[in-house]
Amino acid sequence: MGDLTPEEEKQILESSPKGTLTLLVIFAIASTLGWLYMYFGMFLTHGPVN
Amino acid sequence: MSNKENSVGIGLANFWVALGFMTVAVLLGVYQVAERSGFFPSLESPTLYFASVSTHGVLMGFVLTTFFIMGFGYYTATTSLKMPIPGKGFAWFGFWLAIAGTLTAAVPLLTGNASVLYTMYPPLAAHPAFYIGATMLVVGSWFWCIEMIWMMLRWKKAHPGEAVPLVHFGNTANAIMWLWTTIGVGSEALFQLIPWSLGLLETIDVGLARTLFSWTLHAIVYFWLFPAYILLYTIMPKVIGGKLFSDEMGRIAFVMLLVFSVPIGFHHLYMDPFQEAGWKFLHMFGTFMVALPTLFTGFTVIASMEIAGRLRGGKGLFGWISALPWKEPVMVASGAAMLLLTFGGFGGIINASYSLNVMVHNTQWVTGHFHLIFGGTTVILYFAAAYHMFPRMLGRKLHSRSMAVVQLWLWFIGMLVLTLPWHVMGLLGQPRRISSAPYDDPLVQQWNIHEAAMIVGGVILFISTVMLLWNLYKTHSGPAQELQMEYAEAIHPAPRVPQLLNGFAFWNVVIGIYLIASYGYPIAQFFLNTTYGATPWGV
Repeated sequence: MGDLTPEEEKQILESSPKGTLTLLVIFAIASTLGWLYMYFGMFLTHGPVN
Repeated sequence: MSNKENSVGIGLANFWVALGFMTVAVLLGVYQVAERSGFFPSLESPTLYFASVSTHGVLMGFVLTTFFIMGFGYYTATTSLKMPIPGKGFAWFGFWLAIAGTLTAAVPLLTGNASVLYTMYPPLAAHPAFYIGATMLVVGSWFWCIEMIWMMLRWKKAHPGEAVPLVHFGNTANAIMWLWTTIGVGSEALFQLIPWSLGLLETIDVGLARTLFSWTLHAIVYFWLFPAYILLYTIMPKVIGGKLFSDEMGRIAFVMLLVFSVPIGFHHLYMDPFQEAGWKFLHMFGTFMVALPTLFTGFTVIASMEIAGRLRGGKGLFGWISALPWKEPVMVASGAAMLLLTFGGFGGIINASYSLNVMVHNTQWVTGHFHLIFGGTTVILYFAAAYHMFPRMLGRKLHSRSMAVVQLWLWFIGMLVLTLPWHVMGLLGQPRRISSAPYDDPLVQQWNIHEAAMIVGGVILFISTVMLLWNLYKTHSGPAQELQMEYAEAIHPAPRVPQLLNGFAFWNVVIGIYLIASYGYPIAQFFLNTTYGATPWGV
């Protein structure tokens, strides 16, 4: 942090958290696909345990 | 006596009680995974197993959490508000009442007279000492709740118009939520379970009891999570050299947790017959609503990490991740907690889905889910809080930072090795809460590899626990080092915030209305409807 100029530091603090947003989009897509797999791939095809 | 010293004694007392009972619970956990695996016939004993499961659950879910939350609250309140605990004797009385309750409940638990699987779900019945002890523990925690609210009111009076520090805004939100939360189980214990277990009532309405317990059962998870979230918002960004992305976002998340977490308990009753499907469907929507503050928290916390990573020289879309201080215990625990929350949160979405719940209800999947959320996300952040606070409370250097980092990674790995196989076994049809199964059955034979994995996971977690205790114990006698308890600043500090984000009067009204709407008729029906053969008034 010591290597940054005040301008660079200010720019970082005011920038959008693009990495965070990307991670959350990946999580949302993975969760949606996972839910669809659980519902259509496992639940509807499950049948009774025997 | 300084404000800091004012809370050190009661803070450390709470922390060590929590950690001591947690150690017993971890030991019991290792026994349980070995017993239920079926690989060690000499260990098999359903009686001992169910006594152990009940004790493990009570110690982890009620004792570790309550004492840790109280210690965390007292220390962060005094250091953030810069004021002493008012009515110190009042606070100590609550502590000793909680201790007395824990010991009272421990006797029937350890003697096999309260093998009710750490729940208050009749018709499972325990010795009255269990219910009385558990009630004393809860009432002891109410003293802490009153202290937190009292401190916030005193601070606001002394600082008119100023924003309550986010740390204590969170502590107070948790205290208020806990008071609302415990109305359910408190009513069940007072009017049903204790009189019934004492023989004063011949029968009780199981449907009413389970409905009241569901009132408490999910919100208790947020009682556990609150200090973990508070650490993520207010301690972690400072420790890793960054700033909090948004103070207001934290306040909104805490208010949402407070409002949304109590009136949603019917997803624990999806398969129970005494509540109509429509009410369960409504509670399902409420359950999905409570995911919002967690998503807000995920965004704000990861964004705060990203800022710190970029300030430390991280470049590119994800380069900031490797620039974070991964040799710092708070950072390791925070990263691990967010990952475990991702897995556990996904499992929670499946559990909350009314139809999908049929597939996993009462299976080992559920055990895997709540261990990820509790043992994973929550407890690993409790460890981080202990590593951060012990040196500051004691004025001594942490015995070994590298040991702490290894311990946290071991806990993370052990928790995944323990719980991911449980999810698989749940989908393969293994019920939860069983002590053994016929292991020659072809279905059951599919479970074997996962049973072996869970033993490995349990042993890793035990080793991790020993390392934690040793490190903290040795810190008591470490070299002196004066460190201040400092909290993260927001990128845009908010000296003043809207009143709705600086107090709880309005939100208490909202919770009351929401609770009446979601639990009013479902509870009233037990008193309004005639059930032939049952006692009048449902109790």
